[in-house]
Parts: sequence; structure tokens; C-alpha cells
Amino acid sequence: MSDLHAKINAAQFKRFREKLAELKKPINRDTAIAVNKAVIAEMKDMITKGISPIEGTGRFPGYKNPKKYPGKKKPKTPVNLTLTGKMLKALKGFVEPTKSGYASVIQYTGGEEVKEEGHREGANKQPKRPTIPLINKGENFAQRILRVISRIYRDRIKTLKL
Amino acid sequence: MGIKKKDIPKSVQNAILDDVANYVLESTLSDVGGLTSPVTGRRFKDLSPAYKERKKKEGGTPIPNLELDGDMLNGLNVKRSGSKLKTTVPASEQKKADGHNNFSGDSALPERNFIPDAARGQTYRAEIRKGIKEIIRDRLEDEGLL
Repeated sequence: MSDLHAKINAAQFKRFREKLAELKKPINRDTAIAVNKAVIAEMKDMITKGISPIEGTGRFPGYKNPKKYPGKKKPKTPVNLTLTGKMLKALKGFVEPTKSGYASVIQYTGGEEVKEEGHREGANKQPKRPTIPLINKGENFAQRILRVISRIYRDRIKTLKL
Repeated sequence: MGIKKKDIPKSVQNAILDDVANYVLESTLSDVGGLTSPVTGRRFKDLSPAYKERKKKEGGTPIPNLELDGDMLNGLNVKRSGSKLKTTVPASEQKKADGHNNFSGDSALPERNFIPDAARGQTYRAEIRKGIKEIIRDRLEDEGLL
């Protein structure tokens, strides 16, 4: 697993942690897969519109010298981290067993992790434009993505109560 | 939701407002990026042929995404102001914002609202309002207040 990944777990959310403990039932694999799909779809939608998927960040910073880059390769706005599309195609979701059932793990694959590192570090003096929150360092997904996650977990817990 | 505002600690109210502010900003940018008004939910009117050409020449995309250089949307800000939220753009971008939203009533451009005008009874579209309610509910549950 790349160091630059986001693990999403129902236990991260106090409101779900307590309900799952009360029900004594886990988040199943299908739910974790549903979270992966929904989060990746929302991340791609936000990134292609130039919006950071990390909370409190807003739009990605603009190009320092748009005549140089992107030049004529693509429009200068929005800054969408997309030229060939390879990086976003490599954004994948995996599932991992946990105490509360299954967690969803989001990361880039197939060598494209290097681009995310570059965006996070601001390689080649470009502005920093990370796309995967480092949850263990206090970063979080954007509220739009948290809504998507919360709805899926909430729906799953409703079925567990039936 | 069965709880009165006065029973919610100020710190929790502030946290809710901050979450909602982030959500409103993200949703506004997302809708505008999808060529849709976060106020009406309707697709923005297409650009005039002349402006399409201008955008193309200046390296932009000839679509009504409310950006040429990106300065106005980059400056869009939603922040807590007391117990409310305030949506603004920098002073340098306010003429453009008014051009699209027509707060002044003087704009000759087709309306492409991205900031609701409370004076005209405007608010955000239903899906955004639903998300706001969910944010409030989730935070209150996390704080043990619901």
C-alpha cells in the first residue's frame, strides 16, 4: 500500500461507532466497496472541476506561468490535474478487514502514486495540490465526500437494525 | 430536529457553521464547474458567440463556467460571520460577481446565479440544503445532543 492513501472506516465516525457497537454487527464488504466507488466518483468529479477533495482547501492553486504550462496543451482554468488522464484512471479503492468489519482504502496505483507525491510536495516549485487526505495527520475529506460516506454508512446501519 | 439552538454549545454551533461553510463552497464550485446554478439548479445559459471566441483566444474553454482567468472563483469565500455564514468574493471581483448574480439590478448579462440573493428570497437548491441539514444532524449526533 502506498503511504499516500486514505483509509475510511465507520469507526472513525463517533455516531456510527456507537451504533455498530450497540448492534454488534459489522460493516460488510459490499458497503466498503460502495464507499470506495462513491468516494472515487466524487473525488474525480471535484478534481476535474479544479476543486480539492481535501477539507478546507477549496480550489487548487492556479498555474504560476500559464503561458509556459499549460500553454496550449489545455485550458489554463480550472486547474484539474489532468493532461493524459492517467493519474485519475489510477485512483482505486480497496477493502481491508478491520474490527468494525471492513474499511475502504483509497490510493493511486500503477506508478501514478509518484504524481500524487509530487502534487503533495509541490515538486518542481509548483504549488502544492494534494488530492488524498492524510487522515492520520489530521486531514480529512471535503464535506461533499463526507456526505457521501455518511449516507452509505447510515443506510447500511438502517438495514442492520431491521 | 428536536433541539433548540440555545441548548447547543457555542463551540458546537461554530463547528457546524465551519462544516457548512466548507460544504457550501465546495457545492457552489462543483455546480458552477458543472455549468449549473447552485441557486436555481438550472443549467447556465450558453455564452454568446462573440464571448466564446474571446474565451478560446485567451486560452479558456468556451463554456459558461464563470471563469476566464479563474480569479473570481479562486477568491470565492464562505466563512462564519457571527452566527451566520457570509459568501463573498474579493473587492476586485465584485463587479464580475454582480454581473452574474445581478444583486444591483443593473447587470445586462444573462443571470448565472452562484450566490443566493436573500433580498430576492433566493436560497441554495434543495440538494444543497439537504446536505446542510445532514451536516447539522451528524455533528449533533457526534456531540451526543441528538
